[in-house]
Amino acid sequence: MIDPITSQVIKDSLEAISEEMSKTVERTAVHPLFNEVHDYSTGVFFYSGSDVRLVARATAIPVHIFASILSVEAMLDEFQDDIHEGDVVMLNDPYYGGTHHADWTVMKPVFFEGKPVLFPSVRAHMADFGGPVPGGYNPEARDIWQEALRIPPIKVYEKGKPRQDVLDWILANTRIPQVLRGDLAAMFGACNLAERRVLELFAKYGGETVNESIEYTLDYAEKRFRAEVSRWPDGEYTASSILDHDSQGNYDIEVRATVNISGDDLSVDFAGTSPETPGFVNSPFGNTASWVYTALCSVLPDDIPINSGVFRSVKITAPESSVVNPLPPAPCMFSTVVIGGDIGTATMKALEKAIPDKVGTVSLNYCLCTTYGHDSRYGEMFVTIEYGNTLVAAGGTEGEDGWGGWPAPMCGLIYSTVEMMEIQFPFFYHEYEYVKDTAAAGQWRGVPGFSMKRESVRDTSMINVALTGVRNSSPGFSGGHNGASSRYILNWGSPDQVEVLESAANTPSPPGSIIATFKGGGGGWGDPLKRDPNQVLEDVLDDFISRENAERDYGVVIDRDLTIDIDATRERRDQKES
Amino acid sequence: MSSNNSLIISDLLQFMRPNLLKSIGSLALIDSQQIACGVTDPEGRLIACDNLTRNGNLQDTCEIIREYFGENMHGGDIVITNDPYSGGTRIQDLIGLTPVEIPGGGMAYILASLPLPDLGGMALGGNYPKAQEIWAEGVRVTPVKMCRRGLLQADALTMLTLNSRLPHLVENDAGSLRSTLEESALRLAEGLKKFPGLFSEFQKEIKLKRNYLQERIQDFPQETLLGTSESIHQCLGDFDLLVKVKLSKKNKTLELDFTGSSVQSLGFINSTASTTSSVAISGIVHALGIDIGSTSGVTDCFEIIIPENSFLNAQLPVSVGWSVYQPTIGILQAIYSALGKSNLQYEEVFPKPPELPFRIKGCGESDCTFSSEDPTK
Repeated sequence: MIDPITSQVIKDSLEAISEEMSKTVERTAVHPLFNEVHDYSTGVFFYSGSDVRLVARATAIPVHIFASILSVEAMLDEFQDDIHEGDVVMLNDPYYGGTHHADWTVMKPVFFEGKPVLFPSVRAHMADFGGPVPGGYNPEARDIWQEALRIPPIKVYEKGKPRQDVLDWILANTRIPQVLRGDLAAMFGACNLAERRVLELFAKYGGETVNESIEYTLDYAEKRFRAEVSRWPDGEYTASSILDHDSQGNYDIEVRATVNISGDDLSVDFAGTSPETPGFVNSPFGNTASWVYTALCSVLPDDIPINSGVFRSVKITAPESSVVNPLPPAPCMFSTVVIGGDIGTATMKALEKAIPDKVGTVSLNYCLCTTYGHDSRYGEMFVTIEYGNTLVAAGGTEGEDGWGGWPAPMCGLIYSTVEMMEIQFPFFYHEYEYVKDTAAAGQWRGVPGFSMKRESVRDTSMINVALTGVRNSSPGFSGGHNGASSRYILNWGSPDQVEVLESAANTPSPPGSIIATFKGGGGGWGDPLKRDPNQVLEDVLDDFISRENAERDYGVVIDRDLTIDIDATRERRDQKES
Repeated sequence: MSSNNSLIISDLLQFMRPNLLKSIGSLALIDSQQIACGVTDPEGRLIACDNLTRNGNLQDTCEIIREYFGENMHGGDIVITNDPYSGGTRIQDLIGLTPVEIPGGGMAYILASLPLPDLGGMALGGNYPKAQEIWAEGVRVTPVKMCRRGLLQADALTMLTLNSRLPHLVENDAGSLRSTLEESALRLAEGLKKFPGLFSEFQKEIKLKRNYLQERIQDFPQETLLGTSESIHQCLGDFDLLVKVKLSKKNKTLELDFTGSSVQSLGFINSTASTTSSVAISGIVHALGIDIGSTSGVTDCFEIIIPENSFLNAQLPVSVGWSVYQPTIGILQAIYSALGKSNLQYEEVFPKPPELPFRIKGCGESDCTFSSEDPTK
């Protein structure tokens, strides 16, 4: 029987390995999606001989790392006994252990006594991977082949030797092979480093002890999770989240989640969810499960370890051929954020009925904008995701206003600075800031909406857009208001100005043209009339809300000298409550 | 000419083509004219090919594969590629190559090209007039080993089939390609045992063919012949495409200069230099009405000039999906138009565009060759 101290040391060692992998990727990758935005995740997985478990992760994007469990399973299923020391396996296929084409997973088995036991893994969002549209987000896609290259589990290193022909084949299906070559090398390097560290761990503690420690850690996480669930009221709680559209003329796509709590058991059933759609929003099961875990982890105490001990305690049922468990060849490129966010939101809204004090915004109501073209300064093609129009989405939770940009489950991402974006791409930013009077009201308010104005300079860029959160903005929780609706305008301020209502593909943005975007923030939490008037005043002083809004939404009367009129506020709030 | 040598190789080709035709499953969907089989000598020079319009493609693919793998080629290996920028024609045409070890050292290569029914991209079948880049037409397969020393690389095959809407057909056809190449390699190895000097003898045959063709080229008039194709519609852009060619006799060779042809098309009506050269040479040889086969001895008789920025010499990542029909027909029209200005007797041969069981959506303009319905819907 392993002692808890040793187990904790080994657990922390594995997490340190994940963190070191993450730093390796950050420092050595090429594309700003890696070294600036951190759109990648690292983790260590354990194969017990019967199933795969996540045992350690660095600060990561949950939808990456939780879904990577299925990637390791797919690799083991595919190669079975044909896995050897020095092998490195890669995949991206949404129906073969992946989530969407953009996220490439690299895995390296580490052996103990001749058996693959631990699997360091990196999953990262690659900038381009072929297909009809640079960046892969193709609003016109009606099947998975119209999105991009599909990579099943394939060995890119065999017994320590690169399979150069396979690597070159893969890289021939990107528009920026020189960039991806560097990014892949960073991922391989991270896995190699992790292998060395894991072997050191085996050498120091012995494989048996490491394995026992992992089992102990997983059991501990499960025990803590079940103890937490047992404190929640038993019952069946159902809620929905509605996605605006699928870019193919289908609207108000419903994700319906029923959370069942019985003692320390918890299950989530998506019966009643809309069928899969022709558009690119379908969520493969791994992605669906990740978003359920993401919602659940958001309501857990911080000190519960997040690993497969938690996940194995949750039963998820998703009807086949629904938008949350589509069958191939349904397209799914947009699913990691849309409809993924709706899966998280539906789960969270169902949980709201059981544990209203713990819930809050989990989704993004994403506005997609990929931009590509030729940068004459460097004589090279570029492909990138614009994050300025994805900001913001964070909502209020009990005790916290919506902060920064995205909600906590996505906070592993770091936004590129406009200065770096301008250096790396032919853009000039005129505006990149919060917008007054757009924060969702609540006892704890959402983050204010965010405005971006970006001009194309020197070269014509091409833009793909898919906008959601217009018809159905981010919902509030426990009495909080909904977030604002988003907007996206092409050729802003010119006679050719046009507003995108759903999506647009391969749209030219010539030099001098400006895209103007407004992204609504997350919902508020709790009754706005219960917000501390001093916090409302602070928001007025910070220019987040106007005095008029303070009175209208919060019943807080603020004088011209920017002080609270306590009597008038009391009177106004009484009026509103009645 | 050594009849034994000739028979061994021609028997090989006569085994390969029918074997492919019998065993590939996608013939109902595609165009059997696109099959090609060939054999090279140890220098990688094509000594026989059963489809003159693919001569240059097989030759260039062999050169690129040999250069790419270098010393890392072994008996039992099968390399596949569909990459137009690695010698191929278009995404739909998969070329396979296997080396055959020659007693005493060196390797000969057997190649076969067959059309696949689908390899991803925006449209079923890969024919997408609005493709502005090759990745919109499907997945590029740069030279990759499907078999290593006889062992199937199952994960590579899975990746190939996974990228097709018709995976079972692609798997079947890749299997057919593999078995045809493997059996052909065995047959050639047997032949080499019996006739170890086969390839050196073949050099004489190539020389004979070259000499014969050079003599025929002497029949061409001294003056330069100019030819132009009819306008070729492209679904993107606001201009039609034209092939222009100048035929000039230069010593013992014939120069085909395509300078003045249209710039690269925005859509899928482009061809690579390999395809353009193959088609141009086949056009001349057909026109002369000579049964000379298809070897490097034939190609040695031509100098072909194709400007890099023209739609006849597409540069990565331009799409080339329709190249085996257009600009192929345009190239032949231009050549025959030039020949028409001489007093040579010649016959015109044009490839027949396929009757595909699916629609190809074009721009919808009145002169558009393609359907106005969208096959992707």
